[in-house]
Amino acid sequence: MVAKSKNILNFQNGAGRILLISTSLMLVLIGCAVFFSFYLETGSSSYREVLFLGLAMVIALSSQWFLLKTIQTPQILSPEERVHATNEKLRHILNSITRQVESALGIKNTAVGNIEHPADILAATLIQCVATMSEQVKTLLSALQMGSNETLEEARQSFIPLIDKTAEAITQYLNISQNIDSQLRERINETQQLLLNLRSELANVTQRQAQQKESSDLSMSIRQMCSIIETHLQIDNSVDTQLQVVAHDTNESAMMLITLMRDLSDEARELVSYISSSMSNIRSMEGGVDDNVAFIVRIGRFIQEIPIKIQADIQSVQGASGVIDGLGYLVDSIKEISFQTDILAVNAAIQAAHAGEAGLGFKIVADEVRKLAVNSNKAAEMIEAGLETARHTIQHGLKFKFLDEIMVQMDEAAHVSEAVKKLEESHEDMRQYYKTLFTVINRNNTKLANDISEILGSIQYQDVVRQRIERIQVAMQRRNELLQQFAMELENSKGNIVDDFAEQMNIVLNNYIEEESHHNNSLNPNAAEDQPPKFELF
Amino acid sequence: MAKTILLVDDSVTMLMSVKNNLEIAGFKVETAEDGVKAMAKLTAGLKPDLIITDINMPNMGGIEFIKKARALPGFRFMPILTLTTESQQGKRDEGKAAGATGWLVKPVGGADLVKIIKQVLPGA
Amino acid sequence: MAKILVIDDEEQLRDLLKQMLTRDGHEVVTAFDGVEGMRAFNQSHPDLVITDIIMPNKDGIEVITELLCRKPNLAIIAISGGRRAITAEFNLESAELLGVKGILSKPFTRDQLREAVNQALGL
Repeated sequence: MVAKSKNILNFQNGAGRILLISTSLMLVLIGCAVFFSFYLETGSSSYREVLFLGLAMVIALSSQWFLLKTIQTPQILSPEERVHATNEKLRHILNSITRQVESALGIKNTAVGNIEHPADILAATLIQCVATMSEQVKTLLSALQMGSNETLEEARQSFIPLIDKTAEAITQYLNISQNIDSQLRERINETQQLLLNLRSELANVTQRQAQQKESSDLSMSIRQMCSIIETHLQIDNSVDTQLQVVAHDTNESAMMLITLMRDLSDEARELVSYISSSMSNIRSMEGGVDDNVAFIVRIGRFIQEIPIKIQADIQSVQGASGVIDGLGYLVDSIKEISFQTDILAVNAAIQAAHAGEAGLGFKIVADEVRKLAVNSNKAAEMIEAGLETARHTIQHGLKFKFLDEIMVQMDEAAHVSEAVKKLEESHEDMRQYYKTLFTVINRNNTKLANDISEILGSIQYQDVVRQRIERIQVAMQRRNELLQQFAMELENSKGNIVDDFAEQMNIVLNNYIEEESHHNNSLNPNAAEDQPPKFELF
Repeated sequence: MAKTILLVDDSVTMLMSVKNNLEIAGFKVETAEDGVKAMAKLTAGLKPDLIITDINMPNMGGIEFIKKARALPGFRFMPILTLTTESQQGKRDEGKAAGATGWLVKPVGGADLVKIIKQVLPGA
Repeated sequence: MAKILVIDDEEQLRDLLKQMLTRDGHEVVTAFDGVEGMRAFNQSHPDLVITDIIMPNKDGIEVITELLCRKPNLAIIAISGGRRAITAEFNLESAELLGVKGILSKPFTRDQLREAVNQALGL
């Protein structure tokens, strides 16, 4: 602002001065004319109108006075003052360039120095993102290994947005790189233009001074100018260093991204292979379940057969009871035999008594036979009692205990077949569940792999940015060489510049623009129409 | 059998990103940093199914490399694609004359690159 | 209006859907399972597919995967009531992850169906 207003006040060109004076004179005259005509015509014009016109006159008069004074005081600027003014202008321009370049590079204050580059911060975020993402993949894997569907779901849900976030961060990161690049290019063009203007101004001064006698003051000014150009070159050098840093940084980050992405992709692949293997596990599990089902079906069938077997058992027990009944007859016949034996023995004893002495021996036998009869009768009674108990036990048992048990077992058999049915259902559910889960995860994984592939592709921007920066560096170097020559020439020739540096500088600029036009420019909105396609098969 | 691709670019970032991309897509990838190193690999017996090369490289650029590779026995019909920031028609014509199969301008997205490769490598 | 393919193994629901959609002016093709559904799709090229998830022979998940593989932008609405241990939520969420345009939990009202159909068709 200061420089600008000074510029207007230093209006020194003769024609301009005349113009100023005449304009202000005109203003005064018009003001007076309007005031008087108004006042005379209306006569009774209001107080406010008079005041307004008076005010306008005062303003016109004071500006007239002010302008005259400013033009009179500096009169004609001396050459030294002109050079000084030009120097001021140049210094101002250089300062603003430096600030712009610094702000473009994100360096707020080099003296503080510890303020981070926005690209660095973003890169850090990005790396954080990818790291978290790979953490998530690990969680996903362990969730799968643990077989916890809830954890799996949770992990999967937070995983996808994270990938989106990373992709966005990468895009942003690459955009920043490109922005730095394009801003730098703009600044360089601006600087070149300003330097060209400066050069012609300088040439004017030098030409005028050449007509006068050589002045030691002027050569001092030229020396000063040379040193300014030198400083400018140094600024350029520092910009160049920054450009190299940018190229290096983007390169490093891109490399890191590639590594991380590859890790991620490998992990995703691992996930798929794990799921595939868990599918085969499920299949073998299904085989096991099938075996179990068959086994349980067999048990069920066996239990279902139990009542029939029990029926058979009852029949055989009933058979036993018949046999026991049969044995009862046997007891009766034993009793019968014992009774008849007894009678026989009694008869024999009577006969033996009749026989007297001769039948004495026979009597002993008869007694023994009788004892036998009594004993066998006792045995028959014991057998009979035993058989009775056996029959009673069989009949009682059959009636109460066995029948109840059969009912319970029949019930259980029914339960077992229901359980088998349920088992088959849950087996089917499980199969269905895992199949769906696998399909969904598999599909998401394919998407994930595609995303990763796209991210890898977008890293190619780093190379595009690097090449663009390299072209800028080449242009800057050529320009700097030229400026150095120019500075030397200024110093040696004491203001008599022979070569047309402006023309050469123009060549540098045109070469750069021409070279740049050969390459794809994503910021150019006409790129799609003007440039050949991005992919072409010959 | 995985198809082999020879990738030639002086930028390590490019080599790594494209190599990883193609490997994920199931290709086998060989790399070289410039035309000279790529030629050395080819003359040493490497027989890729496809070559993808940058144009601006030190030592030996892409155009010269394509010409030299085409002159080798058995490389007359091998697909050779360029992958470069160069976009102007003049360079394309030069590439075509040297024997390039197609011209790709950087950057090419992962899926797009694989699609293009499948176009020039049927059965890949 | 649109041509809609309805795949459901429940005859009653299938008929009801056909009735509702026909009344709204759509042309409706039906199929009773996934295998039949794929065949019907190949013949009639519908604008929208409404499919049940749990079906015999080929289930809805398989149908959705196959259809989206062939035509990634196809409009599909998944309907499910779940069965035993597998909930309707699980089925429908899975379908959503696969990329269907709409989901309907059984039972649903006529308005819900109409809204889902219009949304899926982008009307």
